[in-house]
Amino acid sequence: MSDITNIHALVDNELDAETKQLVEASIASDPSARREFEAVCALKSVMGRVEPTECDAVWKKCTKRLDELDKSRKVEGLVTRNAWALCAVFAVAILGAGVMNKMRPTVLPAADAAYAASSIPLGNAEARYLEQLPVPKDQRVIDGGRTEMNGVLLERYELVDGRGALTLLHAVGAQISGCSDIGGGFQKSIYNGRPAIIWPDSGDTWILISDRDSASLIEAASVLRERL
Amino acid sequence: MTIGTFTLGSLSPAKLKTQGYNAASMLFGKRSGRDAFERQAEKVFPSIYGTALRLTRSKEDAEDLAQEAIVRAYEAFDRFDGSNFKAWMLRIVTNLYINRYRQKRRGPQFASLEDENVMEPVGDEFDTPDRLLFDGVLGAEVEEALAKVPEDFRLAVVLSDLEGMSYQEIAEATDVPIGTVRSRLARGRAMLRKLLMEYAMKEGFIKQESYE
Repeated sequence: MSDITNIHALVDNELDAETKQLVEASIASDPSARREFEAVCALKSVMGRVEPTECDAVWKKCTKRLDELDKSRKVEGLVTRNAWALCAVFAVAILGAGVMNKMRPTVLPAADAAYAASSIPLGNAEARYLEQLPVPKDQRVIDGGRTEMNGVLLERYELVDGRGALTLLHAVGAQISGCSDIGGGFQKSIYNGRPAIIWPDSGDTWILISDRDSASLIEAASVLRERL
Repeated sequence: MTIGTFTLGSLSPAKLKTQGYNAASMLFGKRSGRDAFERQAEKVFPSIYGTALRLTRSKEDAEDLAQEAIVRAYEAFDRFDGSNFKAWMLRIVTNLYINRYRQKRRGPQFASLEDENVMEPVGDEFDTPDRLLFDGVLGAEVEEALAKVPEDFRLAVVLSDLEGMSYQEIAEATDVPIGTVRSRLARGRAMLRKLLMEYAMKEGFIKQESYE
């Protein structure tokens, strides 16, 4: 008998002309080949009785999935098409925030300023900076130091005049919080138990600390403010 | 003659139709592409879902498989060459099934390749031809018998005898040589025939002593 798979292929119309002729001849002459051929035909006929599967509900779910896919594609498309514009908007926003941040003055808490007044190590300020400090004639700069605290450059000068020692603190580009306004452009506070007079100057803040009374301290601060 | 990216002389009408849909999609937006896909997919969906059901033998899995196949096909529609949409979709279903759902196999998987009874030619145990013996067999009984055929053979029979795919299309869909398709088809049909014979005997279409 012809190869069984050839008989199946004949029923399925999958044979080339030459092989088809040979298989047909085999079927005509060989009863077992003919039985196989008829069995395959009968089976294919029975298979035709299988009903199409009911699937309307499943198809509806599929279309909903496609709707969701289309929606997400729209968003993706919008982002992709406008990617450069969106990047530019974000860049401007970030730069703007940076500029705004720069323009806003830094505020140093009073406690930090008080700590700095006594803890900035002395002796690390270059002599020329000390010499350049325009103190009045009756005052002398004994020592100085500088440090950075919370991103703020702080300079400490130890002064002396006829009445005693003074500590002058310079917060570069920063304001000091927690002070009370006393008029005349001055504020006051207590730093490490000692009276302090604070005044702003072109974005910086100066703090004069001493044990002397408020009136003397304000007088000294006024003179320094004129000269600094 | 070339228009845009299309060279008319080399495209079949079917390809032109699909390329036309793809062009419409480019010109008129995604909606026309979606409509074109949906029109074709809806026509063949009973085959997609039916095949998924016969492969997974679970309504839940079949629904997942069919949906996934539709989504995959939609995403790849711009790469469809316009030849045979149904065969293309069935290939997607089959690949998805083989790659994902085979992990949850149910029931008979492979018949032994050395099963002696399977590839035997049909005997002459009955005087009555098969076509008459199977007269009382309904579609539901065929489905029931088909579900008992091992998976690889069942797949070949479903794709060929229920979905009308060619041997080449089945080979591509299942990623096996055509010779293997022929062999699996012959074996699958033989097993199915045996199961239907058992049913026919049970229902009294065939006398038991004749079958033995």
